[in-house]
Amino acid sequence: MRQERGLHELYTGDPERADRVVFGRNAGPDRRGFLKGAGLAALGAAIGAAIPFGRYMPAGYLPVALAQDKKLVFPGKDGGLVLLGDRPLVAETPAHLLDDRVTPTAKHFIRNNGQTPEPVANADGWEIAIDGEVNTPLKLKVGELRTRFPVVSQPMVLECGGNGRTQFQPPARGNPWTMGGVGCATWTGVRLADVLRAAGPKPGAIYTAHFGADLHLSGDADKQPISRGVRLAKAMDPNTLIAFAMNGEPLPNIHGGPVRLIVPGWTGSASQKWLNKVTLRDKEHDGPGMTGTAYRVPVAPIFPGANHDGKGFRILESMPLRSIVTAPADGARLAAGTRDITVRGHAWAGDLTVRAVDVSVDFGQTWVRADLTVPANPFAWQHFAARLRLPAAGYYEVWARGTDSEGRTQPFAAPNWNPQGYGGNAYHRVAILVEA
Amino acid sequence: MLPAGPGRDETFYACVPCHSTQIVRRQGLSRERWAETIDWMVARHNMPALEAPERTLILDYLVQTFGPGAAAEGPRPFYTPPPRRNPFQTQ
Repeated sequence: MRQERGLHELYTGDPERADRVVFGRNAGPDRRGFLKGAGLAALGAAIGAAIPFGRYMPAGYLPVALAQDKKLVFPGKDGGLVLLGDRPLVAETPAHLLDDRVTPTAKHFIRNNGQTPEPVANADGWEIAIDGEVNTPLKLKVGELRTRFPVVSQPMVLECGGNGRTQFQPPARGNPWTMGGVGCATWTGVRLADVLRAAGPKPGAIYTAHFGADLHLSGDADKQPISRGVRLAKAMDPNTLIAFAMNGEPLPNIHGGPVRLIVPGWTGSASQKWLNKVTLRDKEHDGPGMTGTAYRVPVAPIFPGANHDGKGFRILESMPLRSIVTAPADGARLAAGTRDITVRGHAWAGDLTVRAVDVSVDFGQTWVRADLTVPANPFAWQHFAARLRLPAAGYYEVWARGTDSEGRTQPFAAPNWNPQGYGGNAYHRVAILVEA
Repeated sequence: MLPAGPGRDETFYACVPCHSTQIVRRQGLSRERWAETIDWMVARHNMPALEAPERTLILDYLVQTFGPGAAAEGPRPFYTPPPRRNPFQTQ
């Protein structure tokens, strides 16, 4: 008989063995979870029961009662999000829930790498440090950021580096994103460039290193779950922000609040959550997530499924061109007699823009050029719409294919297989049925 | 919810101190790539080193249960080949 065996049940069933497993083999200073009691009480209330062994529950762990296998159940988040993992918490948005032009916070994907930190009561008191290759190392409270630097607010695409991973055959390692590891929320914050200029980058500074307050999953306080960086030029781009608000509200804890980086158009992992330090370096950063096959893709394609240590791969910086159909929804049944439909969606292309989107309902034999908006800013996604004719009742697939500003089009199958499955940007396909 | 099989408990106790079994259940990797994944967990993510025969037992279980031919759990859209459930099929 199949049985869910989360940590909660592990403790309920055999706390002594669980203690040995979790603490004996893998002890860490912050392994004790809800010491303060408040979080535990809230979770207990949420699942309608006390958690007898809650004192053992690691911070950031979601009890199985809240973590249904398929759908996310989380305060403030849409119940339609698909849970890819409960520890660390990872959830993606089905394409039809991304229909809004600006993605509401409730519908924005979640990607955590470590334990989710406890929410901070006084966001303005949160401090970030700027150090390394700078003339004047700085320590700035969030409250100071708001008053000292111009505040910028604009919708920008944030996308997980592994978006599209499930397109790869053989399967690539990592969270099985379909196309929903993406959103375009309105981010408000100050330009990282302004803050770095205040610290004065030294001539040798060429790269950033980002650090956040989340704990490694093992609970080891000396280990970062992830610490990535970008070339200084991207850090100095006026659209790269230290963000403290999302869609006009204080940045939620689950999205990295009080402050996170937004490095738009690049792999989401560069947009450090719970940001507490940016270090300028005189060489490429080498933190967790910067080396091996992590966030790297082959320069010369390799055989799909081949073992590779990542030597000679390049860092995935700008995300590739993608387009998604947000209406009709995948699996939609249309009333008998339906012959004309409107297809709607978004397209984006990392540092580039999208020149055209074409859609097809006959498996790519003929394509219809969609109407396409210009982006609200260089990193906002663009919206497309087209009217399509369905000649008869039956099964159709709506396919969308973008072309970027440099003339590259999306491929039919995921290109450039790599061990961790980055860059899968094949056509988005949506299945619909016109009832007979 | 790890399926039954030799090595199931050892696999469970090796993995869940840090992450849930969901991420394990959603992979479909060859033996080489599972071995590489275990090495990566030890080298980069604080997993205690697995000694033989435990390592072999766990590796056997992972390949047997979540190998390349296994229908990995989670969403798998319909690219080539189309490993996809018919959304219009009624139960």
